[in-house]
Amino acid sequence: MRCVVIGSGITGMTAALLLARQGHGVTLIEACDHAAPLLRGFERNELRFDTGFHCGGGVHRDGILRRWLRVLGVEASLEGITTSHSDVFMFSDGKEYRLPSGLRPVVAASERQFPGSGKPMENFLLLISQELASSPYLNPDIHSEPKGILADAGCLNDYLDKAGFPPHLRAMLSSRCLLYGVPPSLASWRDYTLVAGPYFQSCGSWHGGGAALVDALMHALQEAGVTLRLGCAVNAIEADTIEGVHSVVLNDGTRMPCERCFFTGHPSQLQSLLSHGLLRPAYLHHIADLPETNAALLLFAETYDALRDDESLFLLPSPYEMTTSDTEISWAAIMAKSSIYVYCGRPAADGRKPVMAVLFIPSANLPEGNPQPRPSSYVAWKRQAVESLRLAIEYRVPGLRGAWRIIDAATPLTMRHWIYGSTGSLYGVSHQRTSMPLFPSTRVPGLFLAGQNVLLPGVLGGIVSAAVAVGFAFGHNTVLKEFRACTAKE
Amino acid sequence: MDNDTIVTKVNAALAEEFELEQAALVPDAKIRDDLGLDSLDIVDMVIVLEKAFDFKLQNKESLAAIRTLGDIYTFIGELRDAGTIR
Repeated sequence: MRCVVIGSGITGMTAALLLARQGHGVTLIEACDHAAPLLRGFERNELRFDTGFHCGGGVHRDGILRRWLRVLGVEASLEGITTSHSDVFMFSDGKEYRLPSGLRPVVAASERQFPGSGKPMENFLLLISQELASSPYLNPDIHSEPKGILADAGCLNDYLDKAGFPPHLRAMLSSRCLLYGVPPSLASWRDYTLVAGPYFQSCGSWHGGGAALVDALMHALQEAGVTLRLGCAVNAIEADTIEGVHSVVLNDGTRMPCERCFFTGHPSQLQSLLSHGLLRPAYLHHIADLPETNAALLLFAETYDALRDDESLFLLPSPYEMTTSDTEISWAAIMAKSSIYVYCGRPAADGRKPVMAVLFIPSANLPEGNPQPRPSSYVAWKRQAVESLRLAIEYRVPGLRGAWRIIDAATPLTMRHWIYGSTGSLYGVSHQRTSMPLFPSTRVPGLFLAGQNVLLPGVLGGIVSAAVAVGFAFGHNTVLKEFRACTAKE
Repeated sequence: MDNDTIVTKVNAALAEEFELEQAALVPDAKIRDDLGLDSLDIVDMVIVLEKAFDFKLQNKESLAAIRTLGDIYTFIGELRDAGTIR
């Protein structure tokens, strides 16, 4: 069958690969002039900033991400895989703790730093592992259909309450929600286990991070015979309600006939791609009003030795002052009350290390479109925001003063350009417990949705979302056959 | 909010958002067989109802019991009785 995959991020590349391996004729379309721009990261001052994959969970030999990389045939191309990344948590009240990765090390570290918490932690991790192991897309031993999309296992806070962790430990566990941009108070238990769960099992990366993964996937796509069209925006998806999808039209006028189309962009874009009447008002309102994750300000910097290689710092407010609302973060409160994530990468040949810092901020009043040059009021706001964030980080990590240099910054305007969420959100659609999910299937026969906006963010979220969408299109067992066979060989 | 208002509001919202004929909107109408709304639509229907009655559904699994349009009226009525909807 002729398949067109729109968007060449981790989801699009995975979907294209799985489809081609099943014998379909696949064209992968990307608006940017190079594949997977976000996963690949970018270079400034000859330093690579890995916006796509600086570290991830489930990377140990039997880990879920590792297993999928094996299925996709790229595991062997990734060198120097590490699995023991640890996180440092620095609270504004001066308390500092660490969480390693690996179930047993996490329990031991918990007991050592918070005496009495080892047993509840063991139980908490067991519940996470059980939930993770219940999906056929994450556990090769499960042969049933995926759970119904409306299945509800409650909210994260209920599980944290039940465990009775001390406040600082609870805040550390809650901060894993930063990985997908949902405030802990709104997080569902199931999504938490899917995104944060693998991090507890193992966490790490490989040489070259996201860029190395893109190179490996590009090679695999070529071998599988996928046609790649770069620099081509999609103008329309042509379809009718009876026959379904029949072609995808590119901005240069090229019409690509197809029977199946996999859309991996922001779902709100669909309205402008499909002709009127194909989707009902209820669905159009649903995709237009999807809740977005918070907007964010990102700093990109360099340092020699102020931070350790391959280390994540979570700068958290004192658990007694933590805000539960996602809108209360103001510049005035930044010094003590916000959560900031800082990551230091592996050193380049000359010893410089890339540093990325992320702060969730309220969605600013963004200029319309993608104006060049930027309006002066926006430039002034950005300068002040970057300076405030730099000072806030140096206040919390005094060792950075005079020991790092900011090279660049990304604002919600940057995010809106790449993610297409109207608010400049960092992770696109917010997967909150009470938000209604989007199905991979749509009312248009042959049109399927996939990606971080449909399932969950992250490299693993993208890969699994692609697999699930292909499963909806051609049957779950066709996709899972490879997934199961791959692990059976071990 | 009395029961008649609930019926009127539910029918108006569903007719508009799912392009359904008002005449088809009777309490015995089966959501799937008579109104042609499948599991894909149920998700959108919740959003339509949330907007019309200004509430946020806390437990998605409670939708499993809904079979007919009458079940929706009952469902909204229960939310009203529980104080979730004013």
